[in-house]
Amino acid sequence: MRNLILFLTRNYYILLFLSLESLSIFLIIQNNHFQRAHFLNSSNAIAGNIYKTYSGVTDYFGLKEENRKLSEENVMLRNQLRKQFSDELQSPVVINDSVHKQHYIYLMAKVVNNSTNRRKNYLTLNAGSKQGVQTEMAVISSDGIVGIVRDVSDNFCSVMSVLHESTRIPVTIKKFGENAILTWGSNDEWHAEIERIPSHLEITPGDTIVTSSYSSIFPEGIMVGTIEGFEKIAGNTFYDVTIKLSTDFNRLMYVNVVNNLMKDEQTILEKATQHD
Amino acid sequence: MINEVIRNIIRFIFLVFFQVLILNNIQLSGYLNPFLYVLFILMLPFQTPNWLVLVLAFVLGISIDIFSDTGGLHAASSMFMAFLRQPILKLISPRDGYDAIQKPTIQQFGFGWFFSYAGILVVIHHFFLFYMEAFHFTQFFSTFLRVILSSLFTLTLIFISQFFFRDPHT
Repeated sequence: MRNLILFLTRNYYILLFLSLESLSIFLIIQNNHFQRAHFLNSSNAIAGNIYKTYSGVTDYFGLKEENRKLSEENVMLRNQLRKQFSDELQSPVVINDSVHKQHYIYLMAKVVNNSTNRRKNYLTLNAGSKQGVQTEMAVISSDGIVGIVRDVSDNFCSVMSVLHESTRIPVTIKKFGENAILTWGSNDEWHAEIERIPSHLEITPGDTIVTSSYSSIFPEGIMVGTIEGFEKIAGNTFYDVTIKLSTDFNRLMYVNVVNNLMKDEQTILEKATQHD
Repeated sequence: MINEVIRNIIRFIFLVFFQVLILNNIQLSGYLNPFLYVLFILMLPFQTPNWLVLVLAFVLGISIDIFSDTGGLHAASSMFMAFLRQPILKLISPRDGYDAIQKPTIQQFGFGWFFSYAGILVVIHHFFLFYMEAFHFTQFFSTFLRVILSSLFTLTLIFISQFFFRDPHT
């Protein structure tokens, strides 16, 4: 026994080395066999958290590029939405093989100038006639409507924001399908008003407002906002409704310009009928 | 003394993070993988007890392993390197031996001594590491090339780092 202890104390160094080394090699072999040793991989809480923080920091470096990619992807996906095609089958003559005909085209643009604090607010986008933008096109963001294109130059366009005293956009209450008109009374950039909601409807705060099919500029069903408050004025058959806009106009960055391919056709037809 | 301990702890933490967060992402053409963390073992003071060097090497290696999912690969290699540190130090000792106060730095022993000290140990470490990783000798020469190139890369980083980890006293 004494000899054993002597042996151990004399050779502790090499024994320590051998034991730790065999532990390491055991770990290597175990790792090869069961790809995930239970506690020594990066799903380990500490290592996982550090990696999470690290990637949280490095993710910011790619944020700009990532935003651009997402924006492009949104445009692509919107162009594929079934809603953007109107059924060609409804027309008496089938002109070509395709069942669907494109109704709306979405273009990507970046907001380069923006105002929210005036009575007549305008935005400037970095897309113009060279990119296919024309006047009277709708501008929307991923959150909701933004405005209508007023003037176009080669590479830029000026957009009349929803925050404009002459805004009049046909909208509808999603729940009832009742048509109404969106206006903006120049109070602040988060709220707008809706006219012509009949007082017999039982509206509640939080009801969703979307664009209506009566608009020849905006596609149907684009988010506008939610009802925040309403008031019934005595002797009037309409509500005074205030809504909260879903678009945050102070943070607009990437928007989509919507080209209604059948707008000319519709307006010409309507004009012809009115002349009757 | 306490100061020295704290400095080594900071160096340990810094090297582990530098290795796993930055150097592990560098893989030039599959041959160059720098493993700068061995610098910690190289720079332990001379009076560190041998068993402590071994234990520290094990802790260092296992820390790297935890982050890179390699079982005990780095632990085994840095243990092997730490085990051979004492014999190598004896082999290349200057004529009048080492002073207890001295530290194995380029400032105190000069470029030639430090180059052979770091060079031998880094090559030993990388040799053990890459062959342990491959676990067979079928691709002997391509593994050997990785050992040599990676050792050169690590050594370059070690020499650069010598100007950052400079001792305030010298």
